[in-house]
Amino acid sequence: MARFVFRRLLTLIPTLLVISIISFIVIQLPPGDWLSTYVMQLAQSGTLVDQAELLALERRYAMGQPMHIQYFRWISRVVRGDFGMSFEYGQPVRELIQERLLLTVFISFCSLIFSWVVAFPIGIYSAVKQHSMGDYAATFVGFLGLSTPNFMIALVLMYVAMQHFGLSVGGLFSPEYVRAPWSAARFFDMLKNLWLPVIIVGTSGTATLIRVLRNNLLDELQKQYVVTARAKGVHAVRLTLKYPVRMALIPFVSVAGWQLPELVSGEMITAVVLSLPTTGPLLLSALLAQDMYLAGGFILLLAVLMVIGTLLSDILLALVDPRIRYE
Amino acid sequence: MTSIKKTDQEKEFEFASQWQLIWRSFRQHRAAMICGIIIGVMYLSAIFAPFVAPYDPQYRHRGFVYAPPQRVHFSGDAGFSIRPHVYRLTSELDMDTFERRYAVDTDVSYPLYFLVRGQPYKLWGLFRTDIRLFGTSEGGHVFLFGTDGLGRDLFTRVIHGGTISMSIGLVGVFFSFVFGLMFGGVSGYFGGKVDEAIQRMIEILRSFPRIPLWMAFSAALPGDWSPIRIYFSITLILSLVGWTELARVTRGKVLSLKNEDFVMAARISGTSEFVIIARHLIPSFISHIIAAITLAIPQMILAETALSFLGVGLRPPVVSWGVLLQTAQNVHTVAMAPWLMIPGVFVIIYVMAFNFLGDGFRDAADPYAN
Amino acid sequence: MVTAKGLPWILRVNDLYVEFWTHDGVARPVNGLTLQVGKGQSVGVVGESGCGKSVTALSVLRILPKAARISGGKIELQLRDGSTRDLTQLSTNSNEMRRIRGGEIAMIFQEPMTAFSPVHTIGNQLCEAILLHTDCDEKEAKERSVESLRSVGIPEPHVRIDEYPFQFSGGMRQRAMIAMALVCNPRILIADEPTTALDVTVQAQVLQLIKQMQSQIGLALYLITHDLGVIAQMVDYVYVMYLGCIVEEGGVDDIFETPLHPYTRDLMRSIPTVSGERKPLSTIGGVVPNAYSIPSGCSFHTRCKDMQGEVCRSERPAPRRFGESHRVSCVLYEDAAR
Repeated sequence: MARFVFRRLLTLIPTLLVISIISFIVIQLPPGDWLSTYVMQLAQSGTLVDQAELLALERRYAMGQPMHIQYFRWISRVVRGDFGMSFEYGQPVRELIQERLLLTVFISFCSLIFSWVVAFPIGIYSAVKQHSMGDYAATFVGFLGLSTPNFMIALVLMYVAMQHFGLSVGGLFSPEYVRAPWSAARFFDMLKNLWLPVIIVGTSGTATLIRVLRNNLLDELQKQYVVTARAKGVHAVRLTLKYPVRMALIPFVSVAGWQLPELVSGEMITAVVLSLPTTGPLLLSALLAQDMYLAGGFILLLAVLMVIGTLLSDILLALVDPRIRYE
Repeated sequence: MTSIKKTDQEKEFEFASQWQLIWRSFRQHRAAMICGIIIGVMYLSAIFAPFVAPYDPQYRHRGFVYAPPQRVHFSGDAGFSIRPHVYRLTSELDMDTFERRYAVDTDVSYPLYFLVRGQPYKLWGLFRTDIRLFGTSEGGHVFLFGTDGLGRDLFTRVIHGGTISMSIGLVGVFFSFVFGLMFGGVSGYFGGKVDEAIQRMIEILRSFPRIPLWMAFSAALPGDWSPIRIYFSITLILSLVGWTELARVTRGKVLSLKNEDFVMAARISGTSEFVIIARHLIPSFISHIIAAITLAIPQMILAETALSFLGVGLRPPVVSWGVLLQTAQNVHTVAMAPWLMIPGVFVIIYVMAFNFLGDGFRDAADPYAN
Repeated sequence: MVTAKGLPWILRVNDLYVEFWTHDGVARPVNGLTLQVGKGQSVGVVGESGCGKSVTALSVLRILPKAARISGGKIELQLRDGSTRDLTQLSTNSNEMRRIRGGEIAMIFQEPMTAFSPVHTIGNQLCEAILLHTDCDEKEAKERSVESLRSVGIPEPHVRIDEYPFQFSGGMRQRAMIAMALVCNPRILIADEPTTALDVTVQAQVLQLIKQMQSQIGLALYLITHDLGVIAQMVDYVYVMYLGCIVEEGGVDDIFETPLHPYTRDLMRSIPTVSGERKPLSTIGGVVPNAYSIPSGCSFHTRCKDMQGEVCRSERPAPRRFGESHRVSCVLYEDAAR
């Protein structure tokens, strides 16, 4: 097991390298360098540009130097936790990102748990009672969830809440907590508002998981080892839970792993609609304003978090599947 | 179970080509059949969009801002009539709230006619005509889905938006398909180091959250590009990130097929590698690829819709379902004009139909499975 | 009643019919099948693949797939206390039926690769059977499992018991399978093609093992195979099965020396011989009809070289006695008793 984890950790190195390069490309994407954009913006707003400061900035980000030098400057700062400045906000990117990123991850994680809890019983039921009304209903609702864009669900739920319950949903905190520092009370307030984004973000993932679980379980139910266990005299219910469900859990776990990026993507769109104080809205405005160090920092960190997520799910996978462990 | 040459039907089964078998088992998938028909109708209306839509998509109907959808009636004061009609919409501006209020005036009705003369248009940029599928008599309006904030007919815009959205699905999948087939095929066929490298690349791409990456690339497209250029750039961006699943399916199939006996037979007889791939491998997994493609198309649409919804995808005046939904971004607007969410219903129907269809294809792709 | 060899019977299948309801119609893999297994006797059922051999065995254990049902006949089992049960009358998931499975009748399968769950240890799967059928606690169950692995010739059983099936070789897995089947001292072992998936050298060892276990604990063996070589080596009494019914039965010598039914004769001709002159191996003409459309009359008439005309097409031949325990269902023969 330790060897497995070690090997898996080794493969992270090239992955992280490529991720950082892609993020750097994103930063460099907009035409012109960000510094001249910055200067132009300052000039437009009538602020005088301090030549000395400009030179310092130029040196700091290795402007005008070849790309790979710029990359190395940037990455060596990033490794030390310095993601550069956001010129929109005039703040270090790190300060702006931190909390939002954590909230995004937290919401995505809750959605993951939500979709597991919902998908597991429904998937098993659908497979065991194949071709029953319940199975058809689950399949249909699953397809519906799969086919509905997150923001549509968000809009419809918000609309329903507003029209029929007079609730104004949106945001993650009640007004009195929006600007408050973190405290237990603020956390519980957040939990109260969390259900809506979690349901919205979790829906399409739930649909996928139900389908994956159902299909795999149907496969497993026909395997020879099920017949063997029946021939031993194991009770049908116990048998289903102990063998095929256990086997179907393996693809379930691996699907859940590569679903993380999807969840985060979904969370970002949902956050824009619900105006949550998470990654989505800020990244969007950063991209539109070409505030590239902010955007690049977001993308880099999101990708790194995803890689860690997949790593964790791989370890989980090895735990549920001895064939991987002993490979 | 083995079969026997007994009845004609069984004979047919025994000698049926793989495609016939696939078709046979596909037909049994009733939901997929129905969805296939739905998709067919949707594409037909997309191809003939200007004909199906009663108005020009950019035309603003004066005095009809946020007009609600009109109901089509078959019966009125005069009793039941086979000719459908709509009642006149009247509006007044509420001077307190500055909202326009609409009322249905059942005294005046406008019959609906098929194949009427309306606003002139050029079908496919070729044929100038003014025949539209349906419309009202002179002086009336028909807004099946209501109008938007600029008084444009939403039904018209949904139909036109479908042309763009649904073609993005196809074009985007075509790009992904090229990438996927290339990388997946090479990966599965050559194996070894090449395979390892490509798999790594796919893994990394998959671990990236797609939406932010798409957002970043699309937001970087210069604002002064022509709509058509933006359109192709967006599809290209979508497929650059979206080809991995197709590559995975291709690789898996190639891997399982490359060890089959007939490939060995071809190789022993001295056929070149290229011919092996083109003649033997591709036909035998094409059915699986079709299924994978069918399931990839809705992903494209969902992505386009999401990007346009966020304002970093296609931009007005281009009309796509995502662009239309952008006007529904604000929940207060939606509360006032819930019909603005109708394009979303079309997205759902389209995506769902494709998912069912792809499911049916996937089940049918393995006619020997049962 | 006693069996042909004079042994008291323990399992008696009488006029069994099984149906499968599928999209393509109703398949009838078992059609009026009758057979008996005597106490401690070795009985073989031989036939081509798809003739309903395995379905019969699954019916006996009442573990048919969902789409299948027993539509007629009886499956009688003599229990340890001497009473008789008709297994077709028990519900598949009832306590009594589950006690019989593994406790009275155990089964081993063709595919040792897939017959174990890959994510549970061998020990776990063995202990499960013991815990189900005995009052052992987990510790005793584990000891018994180790013991049973040792008895089937698995080296270092106390280590291997905690290993996973994929760490076992094919032959070892089949041994473990046998250990698992016998760990609760059943009285009948149904072996469905137990060696087909194994290497030839391993096949002999496994067969040897089954024989040895059988004589050790006085077990009745119900062996299903398409391999006449295995039949000749393993059993005393043979049933030849074609399309869901028995066409010929008899002592192993009767069947091999004087095969009567045209189908049995065809089967015998298709065995390669080591000695004697070299001649082309014969095959049975035609294809096995499928279970959806069983031919009328004698179901073999579509392939029979000795077809007698209309009577074969329209009438199902009754079994005719031929010698002491030899029976054949074919119009070519007169009933010796008549």
